[in-house]
Amino acid sequence: MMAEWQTWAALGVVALAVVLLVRRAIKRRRGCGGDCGCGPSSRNRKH
Amino acid sequence: MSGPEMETVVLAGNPNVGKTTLFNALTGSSAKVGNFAGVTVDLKLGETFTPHGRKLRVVDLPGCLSLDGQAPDQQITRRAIHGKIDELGAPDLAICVLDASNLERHLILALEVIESGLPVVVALNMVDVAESAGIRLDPVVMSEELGVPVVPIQADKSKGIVELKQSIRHPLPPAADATWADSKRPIEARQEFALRLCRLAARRPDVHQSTRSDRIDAQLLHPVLGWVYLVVIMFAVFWSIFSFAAVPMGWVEAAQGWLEGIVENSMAEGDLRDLIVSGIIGGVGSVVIFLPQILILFFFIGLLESSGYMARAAFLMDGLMSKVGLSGKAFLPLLSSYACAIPGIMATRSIDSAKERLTTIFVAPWMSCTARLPVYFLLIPMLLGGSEGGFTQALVLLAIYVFGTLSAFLVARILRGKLGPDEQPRHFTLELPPYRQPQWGYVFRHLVSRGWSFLRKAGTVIMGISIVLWALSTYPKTESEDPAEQLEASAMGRISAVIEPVVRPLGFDGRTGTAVLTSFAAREVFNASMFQLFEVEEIEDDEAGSRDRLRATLAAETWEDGSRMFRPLTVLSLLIFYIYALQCLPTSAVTAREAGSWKWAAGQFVFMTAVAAIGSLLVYQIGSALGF
Repeated sequence: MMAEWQTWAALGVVALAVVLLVRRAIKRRRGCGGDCGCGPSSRNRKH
Repeated sequence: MSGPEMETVVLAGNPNVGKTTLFNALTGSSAKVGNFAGVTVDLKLGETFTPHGRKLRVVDLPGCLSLDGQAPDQQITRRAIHGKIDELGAPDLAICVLDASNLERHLILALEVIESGLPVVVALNMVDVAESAGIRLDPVVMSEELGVPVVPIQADKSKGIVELKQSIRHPLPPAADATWADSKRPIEARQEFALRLCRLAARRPDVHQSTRSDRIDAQLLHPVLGWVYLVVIMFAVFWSIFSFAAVPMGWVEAAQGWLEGIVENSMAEGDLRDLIVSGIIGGVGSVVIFLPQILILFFFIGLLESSGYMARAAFLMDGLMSKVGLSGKAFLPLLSSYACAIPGIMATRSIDSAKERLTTIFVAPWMSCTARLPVYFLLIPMLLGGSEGGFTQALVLLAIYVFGTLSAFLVARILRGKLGPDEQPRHFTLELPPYRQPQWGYVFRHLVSRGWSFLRKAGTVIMGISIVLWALSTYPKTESEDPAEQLEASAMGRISAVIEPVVRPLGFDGRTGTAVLTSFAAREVFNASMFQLFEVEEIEDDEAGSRDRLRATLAAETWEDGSRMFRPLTVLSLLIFYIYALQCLPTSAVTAREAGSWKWAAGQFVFMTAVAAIGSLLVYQIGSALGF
């Protein structure tokens, strides 16, 4: 029972990760969004 | 956003006169500064308050020698001064930032801005450097001759900032009459006025005094010794990465082991526990473990930038770059690309020639970026058998950087030949700034910014992909208790089996090929994938960290015939792939935007990936034939 509960919870986390990755890919397709460390502030984010 | 009543002040000046340092001092921002030209290629916006509490919008403009320049960043400056950028509107005042030790050249732009009819305040920066060179400055005479306030400042030490703010209190100073202006020969008129003004208000000593910078440059810019110093300095930086990072990396590993222990002790066995321990802590940990090495690298790069040495490196590289059809203006974009190709590609906006700009954009991703470092840090000790010290590892890392750079230059040479010469010959003047004490605040902020970006990426993208990889290597489940059989039956195992015939000639098995494939999402994912795909938790030594456990697992892997899978030739083949492959979607997006066409981005991706695959294939096949 415990193992089954853990499987469903793990699958939920995986689904959430997929959704967030896709959402992020769509939002950030124009550039690094700051991940590269090039230091754009929220005000100056142009890439 | 600013209200309509807020006045706009623009910071204008030649490259590397300290505009961004002044911008940071005025606004309390932490925008990137550097002791070399071309750091700012876009507008930066901030806000400041006058001593009377009035709020002003401050705009940091890209540096330019004249308002007539054609490079994209110079056009931005000209349009901003003339009030032709819609988002900014017409500025109310320009602060012209001048390097007090080089006024003859830097006054020209200030005279142009005054001629534009905009009220101007002159900020005479680096007065300490000018005084140490024996220049006697007279700001009062300068102010009388120019007809605008002149304020001596030292932006890096925040000296004179209060006086500068006093000079822009309400009402703003009026526009000055450009008494020197001559519509028939404007350039000569400005030059004559600047020279006359310098004789009056910035008198140099009769005999040229050899400055400390001159004496250091005699060594560091020597045609032969200069290169020796450059190689030694870069080697010392790389050596320090491998030598000083062991202790803090041990802390990261201990923290990882502690976290794994907590989860394992507090949860019953099951998929969720396995996901947290292997997928999240193990996967992310296999990347985060290299944070200390990355911080050490950026600490030294910050020191070199801040001290003025990077401009000397540009000077040395200029001769080499001119041979491949690139000017010194391409140096900063390429240098920035060592951190990340994205700001490097954006920095090409300072290049006037469209053909040179496209060439620089095309080759920029071959400069070894930060994302490659976790892969290099994992593979280099494996290449050397794990027993070599920091000296040899640093040599290999230096060779990787040199290899990538020379390959980029070779492709640039070929591409420049294909694109043809410029319509008009371009000239590049490189100004060498004086050596300065490193700005420790800047170095620290640079370090925190880099470290935070690395951790943020590890905690978001890398963690997300690591979770997905865990699922692909766990499901669908089989009845078998053997982890190897379970992995073989999983989705990842099936993908590995399909791609194995394709990657085998490169020396990779299906799992390594799958790890390479997944790292097209982000290069660092290679470490997390290898961690997932090679059942790293099976190692007996519980005390070992993820890095050692992964290396030990890989070292024990064998082919079907019992021979070692990860012999040095295989690792070299992997390194060659990672030096050349373009595994970064955001870089392709920025290339498409800056080059103005997706064709350039597609061409760049196909070309770089093909070179990576062919390079790996040749290295492995030739090496195998030679018996390595």
